[in-house]
Amino acid sequence: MEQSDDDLVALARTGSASAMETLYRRYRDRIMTFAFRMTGDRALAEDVFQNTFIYFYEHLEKYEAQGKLSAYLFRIARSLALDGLKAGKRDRQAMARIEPVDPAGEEPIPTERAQKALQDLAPHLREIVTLRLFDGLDYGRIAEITGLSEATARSRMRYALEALREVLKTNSQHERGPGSL
Amino acid sequence: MTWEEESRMCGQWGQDQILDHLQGRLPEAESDRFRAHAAACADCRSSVDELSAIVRLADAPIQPGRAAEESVLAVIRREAARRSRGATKPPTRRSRLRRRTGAPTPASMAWIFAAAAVFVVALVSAILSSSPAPRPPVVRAMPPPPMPVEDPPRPAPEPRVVPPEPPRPAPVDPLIAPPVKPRREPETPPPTPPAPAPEPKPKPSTVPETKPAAVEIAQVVRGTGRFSAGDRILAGDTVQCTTGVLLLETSDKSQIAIKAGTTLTGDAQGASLTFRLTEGEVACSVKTRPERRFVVMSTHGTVTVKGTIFGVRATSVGTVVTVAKGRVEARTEVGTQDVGSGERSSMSRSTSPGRPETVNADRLLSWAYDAGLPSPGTMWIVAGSGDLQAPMTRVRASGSLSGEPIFAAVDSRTLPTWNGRYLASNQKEGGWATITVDIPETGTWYLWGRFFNPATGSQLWKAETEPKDNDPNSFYVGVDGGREVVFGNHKVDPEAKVSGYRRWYWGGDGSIEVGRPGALSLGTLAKGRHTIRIRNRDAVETSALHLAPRLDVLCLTPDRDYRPRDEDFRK
Repeated sequence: MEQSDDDLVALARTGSASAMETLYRRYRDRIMTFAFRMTGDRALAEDVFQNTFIYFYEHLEKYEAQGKLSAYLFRIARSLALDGLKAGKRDRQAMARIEPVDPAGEEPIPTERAQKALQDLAPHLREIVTLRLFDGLDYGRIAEITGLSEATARSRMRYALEALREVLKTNSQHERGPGSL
Repeated sequence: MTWEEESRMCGQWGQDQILDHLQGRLPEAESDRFRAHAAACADCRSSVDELSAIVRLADAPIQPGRAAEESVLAVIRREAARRSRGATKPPTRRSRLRRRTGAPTPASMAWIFAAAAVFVVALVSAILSSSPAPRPPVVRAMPPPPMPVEDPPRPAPEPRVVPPEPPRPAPVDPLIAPPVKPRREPETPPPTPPAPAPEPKPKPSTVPETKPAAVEIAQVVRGTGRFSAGDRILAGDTVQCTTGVLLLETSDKSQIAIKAGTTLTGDAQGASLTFRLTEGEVACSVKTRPERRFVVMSTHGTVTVKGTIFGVRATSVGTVVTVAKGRVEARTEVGTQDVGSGERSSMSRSTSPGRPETVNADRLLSWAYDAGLPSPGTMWIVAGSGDLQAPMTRVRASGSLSGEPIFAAVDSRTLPTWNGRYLASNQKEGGWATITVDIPETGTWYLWGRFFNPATGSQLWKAETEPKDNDPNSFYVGVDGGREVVFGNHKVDPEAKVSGYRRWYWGGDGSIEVGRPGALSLGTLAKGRHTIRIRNRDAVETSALHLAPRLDVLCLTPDRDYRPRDEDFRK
């Protein structure tokens, strides 16, 4: 039977590298995906990703075993991502001005457009969408991670989705085909 | 929201419910109810369309890069060891969280800027000799510490500085086989590009008076700052990078990435190319050439570099040298210290260079790799340089970097036909190319190729509408006679946001048919000589069309995340 997260954390506290690694593999992609969808920037996302785990492993005692490790990790990642976005904002604005980047004028592929739309959401909305959409968390868990009430999380989700629809609608004539019903 | 808009919105199903439906979280009965409703509700149908794009993002988990992953695994090993010894308190370093050097925070930037006035220079002098040569003595004397700008007058620069290549010609219309014969065409030099008068442009310099005769020492490849892309840099010029990263190519084909907040003065003296680092951070990828010296200077000491990839960061406190590949000798006024690959040493003027500490050098220099500095260990191989087994052959092709990419020039008369087409697909008839490589370090190696898929017209249409259609876009590759795997096979190159037909593109991973091409992992290769055999897989010929994929240049890299670019191929 698969060991629970809390059992693995207990083992990790005794210095079991394999328990630490199992936990890492369990959450690696989810945390990375979350970080990337939150920040939209691979470099920043990798910072968030590794710092989340580094913090977790260096402070194993801080986690209170209640079967909610995923919420705990997301909470760390979320706060690092928000910090990173804040700190990086100025740099990136400066970069964006000078970067010669790719030849312009070509149509972004649909997933890029969706990522961009997501990126343009305010961070407090984006995090809800990210947790719900990519991590499939229920609103109770989302409330726990973000410190919001469930009702607020729900209403932010609705608000965010309306906003996303609005952006994607203006582009949807470029879309290859309709989504399946 | 206006009344009109309101009236078009469907109030029955919330967006979050539609999202749940799309992601399969609604109970089946609910989903059925929604489908029935959506069939009659335009608003909900369009909602499905719009949200589908977002939902598709969820289908593509993002994986961390190797460097990030390794740093987590390193912490795991360290923490496990620490805890096994019975410690539970976290280590007491001031800040345990690492920040990637590539995304400078305002704080770190401020730190770099603060360094500005104070220091003058450590001296990194790179002797470019083939590796096992004994370490040459450091010839250059330490400059007197003060004043970054007012250098003592220097002897006249070496006159025979290699002029930089004229810019690469713009790709002409990509080939589709001009009537190709299985025999190799007589070799003539590739057409020389029209030289667009790369007039050495004198730039304002902080040392205009002492500037030696206009010897060109570098040219800006990317980025802007005091200089911008395409600018030539003459000896005595001062290059400043104010934002982003500036990538220079020096006249000896080495590359230097310069971080924001950095000032660098260039010079050519005798057999050495000198860059004086006044402040900030640079990373250099140096082409080894025995007859030339490559020098970077700063206040705190000198470093003699035998290897090729290293970074230097100078601050008011000291100068830090990080080596990603090869070896350097760090030298201050007081002592010297060897720093090897994957190590870092700090120098300050009045003490010996610090004992090297093990670091993830690739990560520390990742800002420079991101800006286009070649990753260490990356090898470029012209596909046509291997031994070719007919009918694999070379052909002149525009848009090719090597000038003569290879392809399987199958003789259509010997092949079976299908639907009026001659087929060589998946056949041995297409021949192969055998390429020998010397792997410098044991590890996982990744292969990229620069492909051209010549499908045209109806083939293009057919392949796009029937993605399983057999279109000519792949080879087989096998290492040391081992199992062959598919190499290439991309139908669309979303990176370029256009389809992968009739254009050159980098690809490798044969398992991805439609999607962003990735590298093909060759698995673990031991240090030493290996044979890579590239065999025809997809040549399809008709009497009129030669639909065989072309393979131009191969890129072998130990860096899983590296994506080759045409600019990086400079040989």
